[in-house]
Amino acid sequence: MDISFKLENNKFNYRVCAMIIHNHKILAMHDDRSPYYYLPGGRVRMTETAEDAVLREVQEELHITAKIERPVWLNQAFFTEDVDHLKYHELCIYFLIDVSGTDLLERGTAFTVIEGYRTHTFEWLDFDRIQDEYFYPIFLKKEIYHIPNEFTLRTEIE
Amino acid sequence: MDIIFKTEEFVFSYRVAGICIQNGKVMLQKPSNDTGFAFPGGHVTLGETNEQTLIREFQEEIGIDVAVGDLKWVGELFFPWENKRCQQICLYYLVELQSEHIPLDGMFLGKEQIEGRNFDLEFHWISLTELKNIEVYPTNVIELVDKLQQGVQHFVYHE
Repeated sequence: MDISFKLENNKFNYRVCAMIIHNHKILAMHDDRSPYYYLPGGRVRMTETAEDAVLREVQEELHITAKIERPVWLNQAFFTEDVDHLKYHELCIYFLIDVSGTDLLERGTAFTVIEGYRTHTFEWLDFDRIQDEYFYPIFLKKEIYHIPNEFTLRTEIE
Repeated sequence: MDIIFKTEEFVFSYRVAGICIQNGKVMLQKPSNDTGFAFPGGHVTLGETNEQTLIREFQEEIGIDVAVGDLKWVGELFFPWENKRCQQICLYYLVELQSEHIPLDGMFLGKEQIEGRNFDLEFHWISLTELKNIEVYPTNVIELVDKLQQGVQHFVYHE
């Protein structure tokens, strides 16, 4: 049971995001349902810790067993989503993920992975490239150059 | 609408709490008919920022104005509530009193409302050195208070 609740035209989500970074590039994904690039991750399930959630999502989407380096941002965001037009109140924890010990870096700059009935396309995007891309979260376009050394709170109100 | 959602077996709750320390004493709350102490705060309201919720909760429950400082602790708490399993995210912020009319020592009363029910609350100023002698949540509070000068502490608590 995902921690995601809809009430009239509001939606609350508790999510985690995986930041997989290598050589000034971040691993981003997109699929046929979203016109924008986004990061691996997903909603936390009931009884699951945030750390368990992010490792599970990385396993499901990329088929790798990764490790968590550390949490980076706790983001409280308020926005209207582009596709379903609902008003979101979202809590998201961003983790730096360590993929050493997996074969992720051998898959090339772009590759696809099938998760159930969906096909995800992954691409290593250079930090400079995401500036002009249709990419979420928007704050990361600038902040990726200044990743904090400590777990930091962010607030984003659209 | 408070961010507290229930299914048949589970409850998810999103709370914010204030760490208010004055003269070596911390303000803790305790329901009048129960034993455990906790940090004052409340459930985040859908569409409201954590800071807005915290300011409002201190005004509603205690009748005081506070300024919200840094986020200090992020807790993922798992405990039984009524007869369901509850998962709570609780964010603890440093808060500073902006009002002068409450006592800075001893105990005073307030009220809390959860889902339309009123609970009588007691607010106590507890000396930091006394924390080890009382029943307080989160149970790792002494360790967390020791690290207040450091960055944000992230912890998981399973009851």
